[in-house]
Amino acid sequence: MTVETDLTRLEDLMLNERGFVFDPNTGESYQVSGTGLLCLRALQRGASIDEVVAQLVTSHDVERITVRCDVDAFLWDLKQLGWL
Amino acid sequence: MKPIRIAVSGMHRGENPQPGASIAAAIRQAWPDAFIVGLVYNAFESGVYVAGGPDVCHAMPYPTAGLGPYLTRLAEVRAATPFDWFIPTLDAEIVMLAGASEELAELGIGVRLPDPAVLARCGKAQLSALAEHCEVATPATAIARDVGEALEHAEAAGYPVFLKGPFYDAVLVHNPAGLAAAGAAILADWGPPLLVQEPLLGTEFNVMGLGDGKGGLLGSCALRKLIVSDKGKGNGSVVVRDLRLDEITRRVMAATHWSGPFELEFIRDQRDDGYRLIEINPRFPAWVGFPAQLGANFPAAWVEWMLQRPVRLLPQPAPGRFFLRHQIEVSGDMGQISALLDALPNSINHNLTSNSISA
Repeated sequence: MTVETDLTRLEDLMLNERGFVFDPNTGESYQVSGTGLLCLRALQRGASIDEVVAQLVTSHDVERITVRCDVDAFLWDLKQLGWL
Repeated sequence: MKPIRIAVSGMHRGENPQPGASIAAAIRQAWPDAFIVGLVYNAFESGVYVAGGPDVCHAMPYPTAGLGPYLTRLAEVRAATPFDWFIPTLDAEIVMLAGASEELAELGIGVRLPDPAVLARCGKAQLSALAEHCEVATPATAIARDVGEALEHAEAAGYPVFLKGPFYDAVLVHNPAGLAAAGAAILADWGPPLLVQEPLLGTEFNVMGLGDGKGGLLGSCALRKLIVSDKGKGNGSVVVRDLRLDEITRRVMAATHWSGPFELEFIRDQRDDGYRLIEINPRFPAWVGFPAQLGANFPAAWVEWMLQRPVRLLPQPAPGRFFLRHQIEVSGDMGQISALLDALPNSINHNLTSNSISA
């Protein structure tokens, strides 16, 4: 499954290793968790949702269904921000 | 090359900062040997006393005194300390001088100001029509000649409303008594008209730039306000990049053939995420020194443009760079204050570097 993204908005996000996110379009800044940061970076690279979920399952040793729910919730938040 | 000799007004910083001190600093950044004449209305304009500030300062009559006295005084100042160019930085000066380029040229003073008709078109009273032409939304605004009319407009629109003056001041009023008090104060300070404007909820954005007078841009910088003072001033802002802001700015430039510095003020309306054009300021904003620190020296580019030298397009500062307004104490000497206070109508200079005063 792929995710429809406004790649310009998503690609323009400025991230750092500590999970600080700056949206140059709005001037807003955010703090995301380590897994949120992993998701954002994967999406910026053009990964599909399935690929993002697979990456999290591998790196965090959590059941796929749990990861999928959390990722969906995160994507919903991103959509509210206009990044997807 | 002959050193640049230029006069700049608006030297006050502090709670309600003016752009002149930052313009002087930016010019000096580009040309350390520039001779800068500070034109002030008040001996307590703090930029007068800043290290590296104006070489000489002169007191001026307020623009409300009229064009004649203002030009007379400019001629006196120029006779005392010659300068070739003048960058007025305050709205009231610009409105008064926009139609006086020829008179200023006769005094040997060069200015580059927007055409008076363009200036009127961009004024608060006519902004809605220009915005419609440029296909950008503005808040609903009614124009009143006096407090009585403003009360009628506010009653029709419903409180709260913003009450604004022709040049400065914007007060959020919640009832007729508040409107009457604010209206009387604004009229006393700035004269008519009063503008009654719907308040919008959203974040404030500003775009500063230089128009080339041919419908194009020499550069621009867009900010989002991060910290807003109780006077509505941006005490902290961050550079943003939104193509919609760029496009609106281009449309305004194309529609007006704007010549010189400007600041567009927007609110990003939280109802629909769209930008509402609130105001066009025909001058550099108080934060003009910020992009100059990031390689986009707008005052220097403008001086180059006035001198008809080639000007390269200014780079857009990178999104994420921010400024915080930081107040410091500058020191002066009461002798300096006294000299400026006594300066009208005769010219008295003070030399900031030696802390001496000479007539």
